[in-house]
Amino acid sequence: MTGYTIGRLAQMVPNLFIVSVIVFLVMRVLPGDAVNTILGEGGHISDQQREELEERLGLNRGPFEQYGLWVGDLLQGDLGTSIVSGRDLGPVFWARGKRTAELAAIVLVLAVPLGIMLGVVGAVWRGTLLDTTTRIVAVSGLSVPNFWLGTLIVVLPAFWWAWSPPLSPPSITEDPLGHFTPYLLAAGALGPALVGSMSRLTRTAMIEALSQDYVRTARAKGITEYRVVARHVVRNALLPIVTIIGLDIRFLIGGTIIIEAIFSLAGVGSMLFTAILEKDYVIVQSATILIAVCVLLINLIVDISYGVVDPRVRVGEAR
Amino acid sequence: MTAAEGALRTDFAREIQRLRRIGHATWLFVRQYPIGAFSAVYIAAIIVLAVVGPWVAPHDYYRSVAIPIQEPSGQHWFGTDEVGRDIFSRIIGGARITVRIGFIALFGATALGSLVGLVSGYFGGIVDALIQRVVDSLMSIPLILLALMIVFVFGSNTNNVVLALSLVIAPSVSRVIRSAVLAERAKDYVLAAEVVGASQTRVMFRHVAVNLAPLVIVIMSINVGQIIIAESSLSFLGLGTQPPEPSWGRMLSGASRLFMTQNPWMAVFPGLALFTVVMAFNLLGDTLRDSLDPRLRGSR
Repeated sequence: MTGYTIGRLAQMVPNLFIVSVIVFLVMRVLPGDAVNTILGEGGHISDQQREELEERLGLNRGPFEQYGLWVGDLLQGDLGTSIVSGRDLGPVFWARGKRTAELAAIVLVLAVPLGIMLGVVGAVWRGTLLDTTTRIVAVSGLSVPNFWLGTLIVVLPAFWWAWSPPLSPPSITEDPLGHFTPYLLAAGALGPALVGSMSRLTRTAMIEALSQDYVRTARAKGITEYRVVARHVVRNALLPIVTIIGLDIRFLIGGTIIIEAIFSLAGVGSMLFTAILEKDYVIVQSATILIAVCVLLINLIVDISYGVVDPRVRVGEAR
Repeated sequence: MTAAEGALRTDFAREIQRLRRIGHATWLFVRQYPIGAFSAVYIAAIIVLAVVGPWVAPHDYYRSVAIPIQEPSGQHWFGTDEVGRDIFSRIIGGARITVRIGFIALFGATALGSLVGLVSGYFGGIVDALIQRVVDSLMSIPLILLALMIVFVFGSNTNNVVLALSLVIAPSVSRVIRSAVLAERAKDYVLAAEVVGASQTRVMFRHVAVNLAPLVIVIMSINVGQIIIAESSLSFLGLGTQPPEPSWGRMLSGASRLFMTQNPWMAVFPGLALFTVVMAFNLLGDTLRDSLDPRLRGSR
């Protein structure tokens, strides 16, 4: 198991290298000038001001040198300083990352069990009206644009009751309910897609598990149908679903870019969007790398836990 | 009856028979997959609307035609927006963008992804390893983030949106194609073709690729919805289709957001259009998957 983990961690190195090259290429080497954006497009700037700024940002160096400096800093744990605000990004990412992580955690905690439940219900009562209903719910969840749901969640209460979510959520110790309100509303916009994908996969996995021999054996032993499903089928069907949570993380983080903006949550997502518009490439580069690290690590953890739970797929073991 | 008349008559009869067969097959499909058939009809209607939009829209969708911020009425079915444009007409206008960008990006992503998957799976070895690392890396970045960066750097216009969407959807397409190619490669007909002396490109395109056609259709039907949502997300963020062209995503953003609390219909209808179209594509995709490729049943 340790060997496998180390191997997978080593595999992350080339992945992150390629991600860094892609982001660097897109944000810096391709046309578009950060200096113009910072100094204002219409503003008059002397050549001297421009040179000073380029010198400060390291833009007067060659692309390879710039790339080397950036990656060198990253490897030492220095995420750089924002071009626009001049702030050190480490603490900024930490503060904002906590909010994004909180939002993602709330979505996962609410959506995953709900999706699995719907999938189990659909598989157990396969072919009935209940099954059809859960499938319609699942496809709807996958089809609804999250920014539309988010907009409705903001607009409708304001129209009906003149109520809108607080702009900056109070701390969790002061007012726990008030603290979670904006997160819960944002989760309402991000969750349905996850519920949809979870319930569809669960249904498929359950149907397959239900046709296995051990189910017949369990039934032949005379245990109740409830125990057959709860103890035997669900446990086995859940295994492949765990992997999908890892894959869905990418979509969840992508969704926060739009949803955090709609609900004015100051997380990494909303910061990234502003940074792209302001061409604050330091933020975009470092945040993308951090996101890629998170996605890869979560997938690694998922795959390892998969092996821990299911001895059949334990990989990398000495035979 | 002359000989020519007789030939004409048999031609006619044959034609009728052919139409009957098609009619019968359609009827069977409708009976077996009513939801899929309904979705197909809805999608066809939207495509027709997109093509003939400017001629059938009740009002000019570029200009103010009435008092701003009206609720739905007989005159303006979906109400009017903050500058007095007819929302129903603008949704018809937006269908053009959705359908056009959706389909071009779909073909772009599928072509690119299939080619990469085919090459990666067929050649294997170092080529495969290198390509897969790049695909892995692209798949660890949120799709919308990558699309945003590309569109922002290259400039917001229709072509760049298509380019960005094709590039971000292609990796997942290539994954599915690659694993299918790996399975095909091991089959005897590939070996037979190679033994006969067919070149690698010939085997790849004339033998393997052809056998993947049903899979490609299924992959396309699964991706359409995702592409439409991604396109509207970009427009929503102000980086997609540019004004004055109406787009469903942008109708939900910008200045109109300030007035939605007075007239929520402005928020309801554009999103409903998006939601129903994406849902119809997803339902049709499910049907195609069930009827064309049973192996993929239940997967995403």
